[in-house]
Amino acid sequence: MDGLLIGFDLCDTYTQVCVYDEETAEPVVIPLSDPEVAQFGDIPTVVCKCRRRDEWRIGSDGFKTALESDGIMVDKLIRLSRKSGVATLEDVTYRASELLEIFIRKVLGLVSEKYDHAPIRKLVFTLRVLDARIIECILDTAKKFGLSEDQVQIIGHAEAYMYFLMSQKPEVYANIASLFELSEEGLTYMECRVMRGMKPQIVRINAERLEEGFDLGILENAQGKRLADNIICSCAERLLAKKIISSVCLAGKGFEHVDQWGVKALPVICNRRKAFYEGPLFAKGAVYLALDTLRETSAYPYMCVCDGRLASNVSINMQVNGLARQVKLVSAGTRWYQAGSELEFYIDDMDSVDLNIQAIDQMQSRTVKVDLDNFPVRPKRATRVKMSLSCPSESLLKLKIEDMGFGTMFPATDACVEREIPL
Amino acid sequence: MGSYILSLSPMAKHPYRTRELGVDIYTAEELCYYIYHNFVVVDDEFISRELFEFLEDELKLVDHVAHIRKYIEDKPSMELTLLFILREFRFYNETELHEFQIRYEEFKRNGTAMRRLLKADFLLEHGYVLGALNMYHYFDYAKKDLTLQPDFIFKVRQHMAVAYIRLGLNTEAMEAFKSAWQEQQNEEILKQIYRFSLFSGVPMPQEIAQALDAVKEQQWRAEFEEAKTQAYLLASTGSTAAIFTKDAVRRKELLDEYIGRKKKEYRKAIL
Repeated sequence: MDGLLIGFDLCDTYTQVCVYDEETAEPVVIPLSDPEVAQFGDIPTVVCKCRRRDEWRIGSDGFKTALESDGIMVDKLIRLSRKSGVATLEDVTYRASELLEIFIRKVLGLVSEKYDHAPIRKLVFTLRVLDARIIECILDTAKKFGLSEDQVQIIGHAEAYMYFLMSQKPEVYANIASLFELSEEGLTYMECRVMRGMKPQIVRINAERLEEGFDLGILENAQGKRLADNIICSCAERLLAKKIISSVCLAGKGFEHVDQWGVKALPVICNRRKAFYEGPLFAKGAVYLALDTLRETSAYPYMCVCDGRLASNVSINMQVNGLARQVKLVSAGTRWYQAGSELEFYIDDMDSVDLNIQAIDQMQSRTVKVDLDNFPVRPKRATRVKMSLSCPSESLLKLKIEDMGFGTMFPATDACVEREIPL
Repeated sequence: MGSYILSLSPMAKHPYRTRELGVDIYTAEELCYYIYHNFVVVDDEFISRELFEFLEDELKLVDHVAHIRKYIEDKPSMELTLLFILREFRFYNETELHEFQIRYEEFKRNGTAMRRLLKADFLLEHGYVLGALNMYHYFDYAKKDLTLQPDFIFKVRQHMAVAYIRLGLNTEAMEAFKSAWQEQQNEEILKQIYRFSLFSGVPMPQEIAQALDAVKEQQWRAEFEEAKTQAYLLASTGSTAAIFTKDAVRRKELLDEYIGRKKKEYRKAIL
């Protein structure tokens, strides 16, 4: 294969990178950190500026430099970037996005070095929360790294889980497939169902951040381990009860040694179902997507409904070439940050624009009426409008309708309507 | 039919200017609207090479143009050609196209002279005053050939006077009124001439003034004064007066807009 296919799991505390291995036809972890410290290639998401010189270190190197008082370290880069925060290092103020950019570039540099500077063919990032600022920062960094926009994709953890799961044997996801992820960032539960009988088949992933999450520090003593076991056990009993579950996957650093402390939890989890531990699950899922983008026909012919993807179709009824049609503006299953459309049309005898919004799992659609209040009154059909749609998040639709007039017969005005519609 | 119509193409960068009214057309839908509402002034020269080039090159509606070209190979009537164009772009539904056909047939049922007069009136109504005047003057030369009836000539002269008034040519307007009076004498034209005389200060010709009795004159003068007062009140409380209630910045913007509008109206009038 010409170039690397990389899965990049970028989290607030750690980062994992996987690359597609042609020999095994599987994603493999790249241990960029000290293998003793991080068995699954975890790289702490930190940057450290060396004192009195323009040198940056990342991951465990960065930790080490800071511990030796040779540098100043900044962590929680994702959280800081989401808040548009800044950090002042040796009297220089850096934007969080700049620090995140340094981190990503350094990691990509290490990967490139490890593979004798082989070019990157496809790079898929996976994030816990898809945030517009982080997405912009990643795309910007990738561009600076010499990657074009179609070489880079960004997905959420839920979607990465879907790609990982759908790359396994069908019995793993025959019924419900569950995932517990325990990391320094908390405890997350995901549930994946394939809704068969629909075309295309819908894969719905519900993700839930559990309040029972705990600090991984408690796993360092026997009493803490017992407490952790009880917590996971009660969560598993509550979440897995009365459900036909085909498999349970455990992921994240917290479950690394679950076989040593999960005395009560494991029997509940493994009860008459497949259970397995997969450390860099999200990074691997991202690699599977990277691989899939190279195929002519996707190996995942599903409509994925999960965090980061839209769960509703948005359409408008209009006349197309004289025939009444429903024109789709935004499709369910699209990544929200990629969703959007622009349409120009004429208004017959209405003073509003009516949109149909249909949730994917509901038969009925609802109509949202957007009044064209400040638009000039013109004869029937003598108003051309431009409607632009975008999604600032998976649950919000942003709409802009502009008056384009009707040539010189009815010149355009600056009339414009902007609305945010919950999906 | 839905309440919204998807546009066939993006707007043209370089519009097509219609020969009849000088309207810039940017889309196929605007072309349909133009045909539908202005068919009175659309003649055989409307279907031109330039129009097809505009549709093909600017709007990239190659297939549609090919259909139209093929249709006009058999040289159908203008009515059918326009109808075919409207049907091709599907901006209007069948009911509306049927209405269009009825209106067109009604228009066509008139004689040549009446169609010309209707065309001239249409131009006058839409502010193309010089174009309208040219057409009214056509009847000066065609009067004998067309064997026009006095009531028709009366209408031509009366409408011509209105066109002159629009241009501010009051003496010429009075002359046109006089010609109209000579063709047909009735109270309606007398009143119109009298009011115009009061409004413009141009004296009524002697022969017309003699036809006016004192009672009528008193009544019409009173009506004129009342209308003048109303018009004054309307103007002073209208949009122009409202401009001066705004702050300096907004006032300048609105005045510029107002002057721009007036300039545009003027340009349209002398086109």
